[in-house]
Amino acid sequence: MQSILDGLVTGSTYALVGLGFSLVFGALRVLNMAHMDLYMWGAFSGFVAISALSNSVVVSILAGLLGGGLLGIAIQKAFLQWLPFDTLAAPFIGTIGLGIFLQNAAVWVFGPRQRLFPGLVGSEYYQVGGLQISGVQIIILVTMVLLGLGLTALLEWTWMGKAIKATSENAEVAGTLGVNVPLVMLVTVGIGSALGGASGVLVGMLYGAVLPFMGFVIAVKVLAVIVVGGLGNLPGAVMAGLLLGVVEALATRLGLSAIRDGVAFALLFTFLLFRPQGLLGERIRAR
Amino acid sequence: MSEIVLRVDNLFVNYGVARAVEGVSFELGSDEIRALIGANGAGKTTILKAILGLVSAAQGSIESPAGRPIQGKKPYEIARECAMGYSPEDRGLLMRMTVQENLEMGIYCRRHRLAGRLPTLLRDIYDLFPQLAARRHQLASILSGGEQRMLSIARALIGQPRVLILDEPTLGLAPVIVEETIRAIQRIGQAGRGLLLAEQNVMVATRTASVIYVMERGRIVYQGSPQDLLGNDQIRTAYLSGTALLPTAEAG
Repeated sequence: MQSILDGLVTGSTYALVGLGFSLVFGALRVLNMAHMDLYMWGAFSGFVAISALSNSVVVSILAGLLGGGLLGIAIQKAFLQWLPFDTLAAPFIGTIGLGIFLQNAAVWVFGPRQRLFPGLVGSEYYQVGGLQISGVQIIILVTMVLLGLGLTALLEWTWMGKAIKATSENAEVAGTLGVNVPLVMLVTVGIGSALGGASGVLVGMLYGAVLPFMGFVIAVKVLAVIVVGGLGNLPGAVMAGLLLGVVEALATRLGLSAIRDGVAFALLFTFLLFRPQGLLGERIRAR
Repeated sequence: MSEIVLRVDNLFVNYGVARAVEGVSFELGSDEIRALIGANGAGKTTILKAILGLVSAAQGSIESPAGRPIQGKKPYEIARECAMGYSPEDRGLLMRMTVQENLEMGIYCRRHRLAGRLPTLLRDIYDLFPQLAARRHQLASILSGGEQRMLSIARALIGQPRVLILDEPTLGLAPVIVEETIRAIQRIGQAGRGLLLAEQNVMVATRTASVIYVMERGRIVYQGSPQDLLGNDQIRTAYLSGTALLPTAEAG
């Protein structure tokens, strides 16, 4: 059980990045390979906010949301919206290049080495029903739940949420219904990137460090999450993120920590072979 | 004619170097149904898409129901006037949304004004299309083809547009559903709005519209009442032999 709890905590960070990635994919139909570097910039935003403003968990998470979100919006306006979307390769390769640029920019600003993320909560563990859970783990789980509920409320109960869902499914139809598609895409990229940024801060808190190449580490895992969850499927991304975290934790528990990262690949290949539409994916067709 | 709610004047549309629509002009009044008919590739859908801003006009003018020119505007800028409801050939449904969510999206352009009246608008729509009421909480993707078509028309209608544009509303439907759709179009056409129809099925067009435009290779080659059209053997033979379900003058 302890491994499952630890896995759910790590999985929450994967789920948040995957959720943002899936949201952006839904809106733009682009695998935004720079998303993981927005996660890294979100982490550094939290780091800077703590250093410059306040030693507060809330401030650092808000800074991660804001940093990731604003950078995502800037990238959409300056780069993504100009990419030729009629080919698969151009946006894919283009966003890989953009990710490298963002990494280099982070190295230029913060240096190539990892920076210690200040401890915001005590390192003591709490006993809950025979399980041990740290303050940071509680923060991660609570943040994941709050952001997930907030996103659900936005998508289900607001006109902007309906517009996001409509645009994600069929931008042309959404346009004929009066949805300002470019604006909705911008907002969606902002929200998706903000989720990535918040996850970066949480990972910074969990491991006590941030570094310019942290996006590279999580990239393969996020790809596994969105394939396992079903491309563009938001609940699927959350479930897949949590599943990956738990499977990794169980692999570590079984003494397979050396090949822990390989678990993501194994999960990815298994789903590609046996359930390519993902956990919750379904084939939707017009009759 | 009643008040003009849509005016298309000397419209030309090109796809690359290919000319899809050539010098098309027509008007639509606020309480009438007009139909564009012709075989596949005649340019019917392209005209509708130009009216909605989905393709650009190379030349000519289109005046929206609000009396404003729409050239150069994006689809959402045109739709924001909420003057036109559109049911596309492929039905254009949001398959991951329920029937009711699709209908709610039908008032998106007027959401601030109509949101408070949504329950009444939904009730009116369910009265008009009772089969949708029973399926209001089901995903659009699991409806039958006929129900999807009804939902598409209902969504176009719920925002109370002055012009309703239906592209091939009976395409692919079973005969009994075609009959239902025709009756629905007739009911909608009596409700004081302009209705523009693109159809390959001449029987549907002649039973619903008061003015019919026969199109071939992007041009209007004949216009007249259904009776005139069906009584004109020359036009029937020359232009309508490739279209579906060509009725006789007596049958029409």
